[in-house]
Amino acid sequence: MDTKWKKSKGVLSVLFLLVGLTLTVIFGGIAALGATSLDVREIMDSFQSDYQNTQRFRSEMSHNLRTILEAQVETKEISYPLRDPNLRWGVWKDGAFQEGNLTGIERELITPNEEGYNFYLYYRNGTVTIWKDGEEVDVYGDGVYRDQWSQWNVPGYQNMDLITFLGYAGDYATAKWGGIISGDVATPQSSAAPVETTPEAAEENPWNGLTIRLAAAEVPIPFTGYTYSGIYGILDSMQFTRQAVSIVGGCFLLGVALLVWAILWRRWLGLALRAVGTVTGKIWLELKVAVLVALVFPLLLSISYASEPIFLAIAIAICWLLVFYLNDLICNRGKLFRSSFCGWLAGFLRGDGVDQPLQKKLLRSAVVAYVAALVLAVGAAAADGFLLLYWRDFGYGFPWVPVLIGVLGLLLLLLLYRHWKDERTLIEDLSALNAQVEEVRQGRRAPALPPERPLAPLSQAVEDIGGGLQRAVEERTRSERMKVELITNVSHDLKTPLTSILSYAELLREEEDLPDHVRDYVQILNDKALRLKTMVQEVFDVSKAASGNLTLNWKDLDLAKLIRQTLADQADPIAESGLQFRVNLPEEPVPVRADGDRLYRVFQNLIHNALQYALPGSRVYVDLNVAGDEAVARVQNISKEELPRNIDFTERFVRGDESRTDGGSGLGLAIALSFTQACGGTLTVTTDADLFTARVALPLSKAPLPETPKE
Amino acid sequence: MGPCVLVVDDDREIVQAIALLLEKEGYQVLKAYNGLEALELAMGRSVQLILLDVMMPKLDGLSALMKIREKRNLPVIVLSAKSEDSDKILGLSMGADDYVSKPYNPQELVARVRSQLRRYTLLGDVHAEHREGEIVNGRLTYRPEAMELLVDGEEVHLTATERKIMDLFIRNLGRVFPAEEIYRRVWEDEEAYATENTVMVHIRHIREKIELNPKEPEYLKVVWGIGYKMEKK
Repeated sequence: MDTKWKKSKGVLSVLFLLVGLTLTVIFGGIAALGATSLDVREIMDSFQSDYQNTQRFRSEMSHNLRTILEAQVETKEISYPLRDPNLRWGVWKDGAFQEGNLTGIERELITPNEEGYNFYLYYRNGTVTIWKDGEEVDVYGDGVYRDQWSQWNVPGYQNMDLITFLGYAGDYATAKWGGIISGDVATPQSSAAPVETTPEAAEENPWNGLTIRLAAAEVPIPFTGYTYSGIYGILDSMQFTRQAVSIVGGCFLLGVALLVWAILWRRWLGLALRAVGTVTGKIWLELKVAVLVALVFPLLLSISYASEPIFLAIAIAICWLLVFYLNDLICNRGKLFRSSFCGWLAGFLRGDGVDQPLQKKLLRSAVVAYVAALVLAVGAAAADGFLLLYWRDFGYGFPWVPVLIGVLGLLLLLLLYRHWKDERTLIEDLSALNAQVEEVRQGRRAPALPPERPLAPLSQAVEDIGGGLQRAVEERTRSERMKVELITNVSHDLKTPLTSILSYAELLREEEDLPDHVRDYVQILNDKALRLKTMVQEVFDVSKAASGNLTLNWKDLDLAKLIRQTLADQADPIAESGLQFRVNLPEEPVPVRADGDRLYRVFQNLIHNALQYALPGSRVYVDLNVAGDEAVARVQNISKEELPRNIDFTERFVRGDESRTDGGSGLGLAIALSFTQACGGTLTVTTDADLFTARVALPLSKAPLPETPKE
Repeated sequence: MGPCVLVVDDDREIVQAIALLLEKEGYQVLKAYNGLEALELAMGRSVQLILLDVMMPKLDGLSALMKIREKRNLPVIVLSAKSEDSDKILGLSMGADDYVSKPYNPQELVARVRSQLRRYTLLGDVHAEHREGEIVNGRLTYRPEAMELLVDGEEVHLTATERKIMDLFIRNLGRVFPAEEIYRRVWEDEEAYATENTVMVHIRHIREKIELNPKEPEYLKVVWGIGYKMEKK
């Protein structure tokens, strides 16, 4: 997955967490408040498809019935709810229509099956019958009215007669007519109680012979004109409740969903939060506390205006801030103080980031001065403040003096701060310069200070010196390489004509009828050409070894055996030389790690050197010893020529005799030296009068020699 | 008429000198002065061996060698002024049968030509003909039961000791033997004082019989500081 998407995933998950948390908290709170203030039944009712199935509707109907019944006591106009266009009602007394909102024909039509009005309530003699959709409804249940459980609050229950139902109108009626409602239908309780008949009892009880019919529209219409429709109001408030519940519930669920999402993405969330944590960790602790206080304070002050959107905004901001602070606490525990202003100040004064002892010392001595100045400044400020506060008490008018002192003091503090900063920069530069010089000393390159820094010119100079050194080294390496290439090319170019010379010399040698002196000449030609061939190869070898281009085949071997083998290999020239070889080699192996072929060339050259330059008939000493962790081999001989003093025999083309008439190329010792060095050893040549000593020292190998197979 | 050898070098004098040397030995010589000429002449059926220089104009020796190898399987000896081991290995890996660095020893060059031609003309395919039980190592063929050694198909006379040493080496190609072990197994005696010298003398003698240039041996080699071995070809 590509990193951009990962990044946005992290950002999204943080956003989800914040928004989800906010939505959950706020709408969860609203829902909790709403659930206590709103009747749960009302909320549930609001989702009913038929408004007549709601408690509101039933109460409305009870209320209407009560209003009509109450109106019978004192003749008064039936109050406005009964002007509802969605309600039809009528009151009949002993079969005669008395009042209602019914026209002539409507009085006949009002029945349980009337078109458009599917709710029908019929009151007669203290009991109520209700039809819904043309079918009678069970109104009373087991006949006992229970406040919370009975659906219909109408007269006719065992424990609720008309008097109880009507409340204060009932009390009035009891006083006036002794609770007698009608001759034939009295509620059992009220009829059981003997009531004294007052003189007015003869007057006819207004509810006697009363019939009330109420019908409610199946589909209520909205308000018309001035009339308020209680029934339509039910529908309206149902819709409102529905919407409110949907919005609050939806937002709450959205919040929960976002939270769940954020938790599902917890990997990205964790990464993002950690990233946020590192950023917030850099903010000073004091600043964080200040922001929190700045937000909480107005919140506390405005708690009485809790409904205002600003309150909500602050609450959300605090909510979010708390999330970040909590995250900060988790991410940066134990480091809180370090990323605070106080911590920064302490570090600044301590001199963090300045590592050289000199700079630290400079900084410390400076710090003492600055702290002293700061203490003085604080004291002066306090005195000035005191002066400012009581200036008027002294009666001097506008406090010019303390204000001036304050301004001057501030200016001084500013200057002090500037100076402190300059000092710091200088000390930092000194530190960087120190590091740079050290880098250059180690042969590396270090970038110079940026040009705006005070010590930049000095740093640039150091950089230039370093660059010059490096260029010189590169130059030398290149010229060395070119020299090797030149020698290689020359040696190749020499080989081609040499091939011709040798070939034709051979052809001449094979000529049969040559005079003897010519044959001698040819022989000389051939010999010299062969020597030239050897020299060309040796020049090539030595230049290659000197340039470090030799490829070595490292092996664990026995140096004593190698010298023995070399001597055996050179047995013929040794025998011919007439020199006496005194060989003293240890019987036990002398293990060294080297390239056997190169080491053979070393000793071959040393022996060859001895054979060539030793005094005839003298002795040549070859010995090998182990000294410490070194194997030391020596080849010593008496020179036949006087040895010149102060000559390095291992230099290329150096020989004992200056006349250069002997057969050596002058490269033998140089090759021996190069190859010894390539194998990790040293070769030194010393002369003492006519004694010539070549000493080869090689480090002993720790590894045991490979086991030689034995039968 | 002897076998036909193609000599290729951009240096005319060298070609001439080699031609004279080879003609004296009875060979027929064809001459070419660059890689392209060499390619043309090499396709002729009569050419039986090629002496090929490496650094040449138009087409260098190694490229020419690769082209020739596509068509013909005949011995090719590479001549070069480069004497490094790596150059030698490169030449041989490109399909050369032998590698001679300049300046060469004329006698050795002729010997190498002879050796390659003998193997090519007399023995044909080296691997096809040899008998049951024979050990073949490059130019050497050894018959263990008779303890006979053939170099380029010709029997070489070895003394009894040399034969024993050869038997030891050729049965253990590539293995390094210290002088003491050789002494013990060949002389069947505990090592004497001058073991190294004794062994070295015999090895030098054997080299003179089997090597083309005894000073730069290809078969019997000293492993300095460890022992002696026969190189596996």
